[in-house]
Amino acid sequence: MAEVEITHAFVSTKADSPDNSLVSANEWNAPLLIGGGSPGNALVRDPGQPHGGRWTQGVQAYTAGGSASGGIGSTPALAAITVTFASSGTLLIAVNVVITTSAGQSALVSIVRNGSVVRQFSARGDGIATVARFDTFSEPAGTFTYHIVASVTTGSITTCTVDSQIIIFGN
Amino acid sequence: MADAQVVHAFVSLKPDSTDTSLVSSSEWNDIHRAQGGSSSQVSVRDTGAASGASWVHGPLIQRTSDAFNGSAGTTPGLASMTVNLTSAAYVQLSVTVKLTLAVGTAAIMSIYRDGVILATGEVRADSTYIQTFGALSNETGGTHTYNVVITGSSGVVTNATVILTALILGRL
Repeated sequence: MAEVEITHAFVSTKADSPDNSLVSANEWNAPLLIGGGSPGNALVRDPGQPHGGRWTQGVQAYTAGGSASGGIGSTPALAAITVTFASSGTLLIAVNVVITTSAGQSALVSIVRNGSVVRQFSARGDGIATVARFDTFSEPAGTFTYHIVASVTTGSITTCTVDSQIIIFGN
Repeated sequence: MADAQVVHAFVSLKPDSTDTSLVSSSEWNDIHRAQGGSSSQVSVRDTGAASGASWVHGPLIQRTSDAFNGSAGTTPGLASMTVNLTSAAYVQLSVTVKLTLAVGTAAIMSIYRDGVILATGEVRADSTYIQTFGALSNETGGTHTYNVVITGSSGVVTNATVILTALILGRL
């Protein structure tokens, strides 16, 4: 991975001063140091900042899986993922599910954020893998936990396997 | 597209020196140069780097598609995609397929990464387009090839259309 080097356009070819308390050729020609933020943050332009830019949440990905079985009306929380946004950003979630219901009917899948259902949709209950949902959310800075719950209104869930993939990045 | 400009906060109003070997107002006021890395990379904070930041692979989407017609228990690799990662990156793979079998509607789809299965599972093969399960690959950089293989469960594969999309996002 290459290092970012920000330098002055003009390169001094003067001899360096032996007095290291002075700015001379070496100090002028050295790449600038980049500070602030935390590892993985991304630099974005922001004219509202005193120096014209700021650090935002960098790209981060998470995966988690989980399964439940045994003639249940609703699964426990599955594939829980806790994400931390250093700044406001966007979250993309792909929920892959394989659900088998007692009578082959569809199941209801919920995306739960910090204990509250934020999306709910039906998914096949015939044991065939599918992307039940590919969705996005806008988040402020902070820590959030997402998990998946599957349920049926008639019959029961025989098996349920969930594989969730989350990507976050700042904005 | 705007040029990125990093400048000193202080702007010198002094007349420029006629000696071009000296740093005077025009050299001081000039826009800094960004170096290292390669085109389209983006900078991220990296406290392990001497300068405090590193270049990583910029956001990129690649898409490939393929069609198989014939009769095969297992198709060859379809929608092959090669990605060249200039840094560590996340590769989110999404797959859309339209599959037809000689008999039945049950098939197995496998997503391969460099010849090794990354994800596999049952998919419907009822001659309609479906978005199947995907995969998220956490890569350390380099060149990698992804493709999709379909195996008929209830009958041989007669037609397969596969669209593979990769969302590539660099990371530290």
